[in-house]
Amino acid sequence: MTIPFVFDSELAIKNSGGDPFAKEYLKNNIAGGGAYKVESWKPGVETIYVRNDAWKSGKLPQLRRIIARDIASPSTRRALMERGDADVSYGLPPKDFKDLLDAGKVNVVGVPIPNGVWGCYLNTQVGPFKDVRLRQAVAWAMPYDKILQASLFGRGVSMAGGTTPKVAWPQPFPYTHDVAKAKALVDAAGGPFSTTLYFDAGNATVAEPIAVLMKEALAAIGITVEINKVPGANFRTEIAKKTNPMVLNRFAGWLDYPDYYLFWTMHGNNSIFNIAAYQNPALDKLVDAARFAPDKAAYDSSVIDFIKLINSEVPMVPINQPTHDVALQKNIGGYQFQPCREPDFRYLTKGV
Amino acid sequence: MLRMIGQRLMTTIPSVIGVIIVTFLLTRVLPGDTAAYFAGPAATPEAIADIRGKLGLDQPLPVQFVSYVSALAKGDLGQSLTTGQRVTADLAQRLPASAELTLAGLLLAMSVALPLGVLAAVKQGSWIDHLCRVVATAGVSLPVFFTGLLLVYVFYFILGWAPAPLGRLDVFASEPPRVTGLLLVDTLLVGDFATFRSAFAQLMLPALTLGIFSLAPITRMTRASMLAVLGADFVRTARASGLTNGKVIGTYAFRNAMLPVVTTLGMVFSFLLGANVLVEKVFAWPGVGSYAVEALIASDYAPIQGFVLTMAILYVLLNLMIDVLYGVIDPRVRLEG
Repeated sequence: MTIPFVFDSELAIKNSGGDPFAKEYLKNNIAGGGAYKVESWKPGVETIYVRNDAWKSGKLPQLRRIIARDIASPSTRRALMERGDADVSYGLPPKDFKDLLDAGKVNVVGVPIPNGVWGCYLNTQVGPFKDVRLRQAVAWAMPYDKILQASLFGRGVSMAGGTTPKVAWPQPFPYTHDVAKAKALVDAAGGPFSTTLYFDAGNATVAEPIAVLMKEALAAIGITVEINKVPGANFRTEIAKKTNPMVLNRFAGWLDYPDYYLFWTMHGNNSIFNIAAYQNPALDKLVDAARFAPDKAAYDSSVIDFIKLINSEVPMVPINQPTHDVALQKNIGGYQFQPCREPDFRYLTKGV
Repeated sequence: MLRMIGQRLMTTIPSVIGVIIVTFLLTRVLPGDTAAYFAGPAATPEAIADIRGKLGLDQPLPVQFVSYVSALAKGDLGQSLTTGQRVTADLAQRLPASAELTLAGLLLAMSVALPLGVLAAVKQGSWIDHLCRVVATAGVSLPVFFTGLLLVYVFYFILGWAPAPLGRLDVFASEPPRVTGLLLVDTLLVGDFATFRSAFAQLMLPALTLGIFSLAPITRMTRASMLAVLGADFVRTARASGLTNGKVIGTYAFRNAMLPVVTTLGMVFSFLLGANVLVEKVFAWPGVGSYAVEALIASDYAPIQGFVLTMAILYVLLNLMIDVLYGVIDPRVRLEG
């Protein structure tokens, strides 16, 4: 992971038995400091944290002891929240968050995931979507509102119908659900076509409704889609091939900058997340200019320019920006989360 | 007896060797690239190659196999990449949880299934026979995760009788010193009754879920086997000699009907031990089943191999135990063996 850690290297090396990285020692021992200490750790079962009362680098947290249990079944987690046996739970399916919110017994706090968006990556090197008209056709055919309701139960922001490009990411592209425009583009490109849509089976709760609605919408404009669910272990291998014509994926960058997102997903360095295998020196130039911009004005103009570029090039059709939800009992306050989207225990408070 | 056990053990050696080879090969043909998975998203092809080299995955298969077997001979099942721990430590931590759950479920099922099966056979065609049929059909047709969720919903969510489905112990109870790893036994050993109660309460619903599922094969087998025995000549002779009904059924018929039932029990036990993944998921039970599935999702070879091997050895031991039990139940089997 890219979150920086600070280790007590003297302690670690003293116990490492010769390994300069003390990997074996650090697997089961603590050589660091922070607001909380790990009291016990059972991998995949539970972690217990106790407050480090000697902590000097900030306000002492209110909560003395935090028990983090891994509960695999979302239904069980929801039951625990509703019965009041758990204080905080995250990672529930969107429908459960919506139900909890409607029931009103617990608080649901949600903000759109910073720098995160569900997108349909269209391969720009092989297959039918080499033709930019077909990529635009997919963007016009996408049933944005239906997808937002069916896949996220409204817990997100639609990426349809953007007007003027802004210095932000994600942001709506200028496309809306317009079958006539989509059909005209497919006909101009010499349709009909058939293709395959891939997604990670581990994300099926959200991705499957998107895929099914897309299949239905694309069939209407002459693109036949076969859906292929890829098992989690295989998904990385599959997208690394960069030969799949159509892939649904939710990528969220830990750093909240548009250029950072595009560097990973559309830049010529061709990282694994550039699923569309998009190669465009003009885009690279703009993204790099933003990454190393001398001042804000230069940064802003580069961002606006590359947004305009990908608005017409659409290597990826943004679908929606999901909400990062967490369920909290009413007496829990001070919730904040880290860029890795895990809650920060230091600020949590619990009333009586 | 010892001689028989020795002979039986000898015959299991080829099957264990077979299991080792098959698990090794199977995990290698699984889709998914371990090195790519663990190198992370930002990895360059060189970094992936480097990790592949460190894991020994760039060696030809026979070389990998030799190093696997030689480590195995030292009792080393390798290291899990997801938990970062030794597989033997992980399994030792999690196996007792699965064993306790499975044993409790099986005991629960037996305490209902055996009397029900016997009664159904004795009073064939009566309401109790029909009840037996309904219970067995219902038990086997309800998938375990569904029964589990239903029980959680009714007994925890609606009624509030059961504790929160949070694994083996309440969050605030502390684990007793580890002797057997079975919490019910360990708490009693140190006389910690509060923790015993907590562990027992946590165990009830998942055990019930498993029990309902395993009810069917045991009931049906008991019934069928009792029916066959009750029609046998020696039962007629016993009745003709004027023995009481209880004596005929309890002493003579039941004991003779036990052989196939014990075989079924063994099968059900070993099946439940590995297959209760879904129950483990619903009740957040830290068992071996969910461990193996998580490893599978991450294409983490070592835990999968360790899991399959452990299961195979358990099967072998279980079969041996059943064979010994045969001899206890029916001395004729011992003579032939």
